Amino acid sequence: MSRLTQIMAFKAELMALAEEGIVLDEGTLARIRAHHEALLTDTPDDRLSLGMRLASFVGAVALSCAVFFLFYRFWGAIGVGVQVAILVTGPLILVGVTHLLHRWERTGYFATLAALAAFAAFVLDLGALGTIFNLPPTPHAFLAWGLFGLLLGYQYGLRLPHFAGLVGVGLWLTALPGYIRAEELPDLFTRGEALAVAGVVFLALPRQVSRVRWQVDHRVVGMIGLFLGLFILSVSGNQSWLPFSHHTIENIYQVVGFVVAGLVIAWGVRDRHAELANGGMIFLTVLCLVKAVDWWWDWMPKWLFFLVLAALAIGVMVALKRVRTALVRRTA
Amino acid sequence: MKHGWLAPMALVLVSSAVPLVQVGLDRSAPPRQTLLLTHRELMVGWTGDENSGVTLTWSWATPPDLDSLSRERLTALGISCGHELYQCNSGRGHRGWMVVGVDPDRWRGAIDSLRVRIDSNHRSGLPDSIADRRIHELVSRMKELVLYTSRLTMDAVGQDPAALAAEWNDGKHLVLAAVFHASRQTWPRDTLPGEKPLYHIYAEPVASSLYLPAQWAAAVEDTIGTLQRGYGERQQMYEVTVAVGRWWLPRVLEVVRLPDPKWPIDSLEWRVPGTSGRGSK
Repeated sequence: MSRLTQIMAFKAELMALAEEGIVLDEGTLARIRAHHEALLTDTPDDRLSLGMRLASFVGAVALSCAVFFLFYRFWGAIGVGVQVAILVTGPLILVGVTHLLHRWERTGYFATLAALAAFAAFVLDLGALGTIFNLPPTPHAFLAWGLFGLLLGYQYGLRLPHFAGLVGVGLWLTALPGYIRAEELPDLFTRGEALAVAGVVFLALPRQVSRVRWQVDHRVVGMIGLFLGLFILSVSGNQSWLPFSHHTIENIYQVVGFVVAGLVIAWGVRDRHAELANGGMIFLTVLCLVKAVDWWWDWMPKWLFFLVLAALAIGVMVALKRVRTALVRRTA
Repeated sequence: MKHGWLAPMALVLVSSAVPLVQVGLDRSAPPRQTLLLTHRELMVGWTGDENSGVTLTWSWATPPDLDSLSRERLTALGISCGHELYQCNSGRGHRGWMVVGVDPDRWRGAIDSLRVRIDSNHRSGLPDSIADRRIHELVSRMKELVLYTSRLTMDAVGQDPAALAAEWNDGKHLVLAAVFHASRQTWPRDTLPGEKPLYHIYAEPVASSLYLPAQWAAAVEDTIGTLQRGYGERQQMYEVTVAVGRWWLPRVLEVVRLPDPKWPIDSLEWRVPGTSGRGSK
């Protein structure tokens, strides 16, 4: 809950208390009012902040595209030395711009825009250097991009670059085992076990290190990695490193998928993490749908198949309702 | 944060320095190998209007693959192949090295054969309309051979680039980093008792295209007719010297623009159907 929302709720509660006959003394109220006014001068209005966040995100994506296309439009006419100079100085300048914008406007909307443009320029930097010098593609570039996003996020309190950084580091973690086994990009990203393990690392990090900022982002990235990995393995056992037949591997990971989804939902309910509870339920639903098609589509009459599916959907709705009730109770 | 910019900037500088140092070391010594290729083997890659960079892409005389490899040979390349599956390594690419070279004999043989057929049609005594049509077809095939038909072949694969370079050290081959895709050639018959499996490998260079610096970009023109020239018009011919450096990075050393085709088309006496002229290009 933002500070503005807390203040609004506090004011509403004061008014309700006043109607019920409980009133604070005028001096205390004046002090609180003055303090809140001082606070709100630096706090964006929530009604505006959603629009600002959206505009900042769209602007950042557009600016990043502009950086890419501008370079590729003219790089063919530029010598290699100048190309390298432009590529390396581009992200440096944009980091400088991020720094200045962060000092100028503390809410961070403009700084986010510049930081994401810096991120895009850094991606362009390493990518284009690889092209110019015919270098083999390496997954370690994702580590550099990920760390860059995390650094920008932590240093300036910017959530979007931090999220991009998490994704970058996650991709590197996923690619690393395959890279060690002499596999090549882009096949490295489809190893289900590596994806699931990277997901578990991100899920575990906020539990182990309490100082981690934006813990919900870690959980979301981790949960997506974990579920995606398990889903890949449950439908395509060939992607596994396990030394069994692909049918056996698929069956194993289907069971694991159901169990893990249940555990994630339970964790979400227990610790009041709505993203985990909802994400787990979505994954469980997808697994059920896929398995329903696998098991029943060929031999069941179509009307019965869809009837069973409808029954499953109603079951999920009931389960979701219970999860929501549990979450509300815990929040209260 | 007062010095918040320091760490991200340092990261950019260090990360950019890594490939630059790698390239510097690669080029700090004379190239290990060089190979002279032409527009037939390294064609100008297609780029849209929004991309002004020029790259050259490999074009093969025959697909770069090897057949009838034993399990031992495959294992030596570091590729594992399950008993029950057609694709090895779950269909994933595996890092390795490939030896590429130019096979001019088959290409020259095809040209000589076409030349003989064009000449024999001239002397056939057939009515003009029939001879013209046949000659037109043969000349089209000749043009295809001269302008587009590659002579590039893959001659060997391995895991040790230095060993491959020592073995193919004749000035006519290059060792390139490659990705292997292996499959069971005799599958599923080889799953029967007593059958020994054989394997097939398809290799592709890791550098699927070579970047052409601006100073040479003007020397090549679109060889597939997608930019300024229409298909069937005269195309630019050029020679490219490709080298691999100390760290096995491929690069274009030089591009020489060749004059318009003089040989073998101009040396042939052939007529363009519908005109009375001879030897027209």
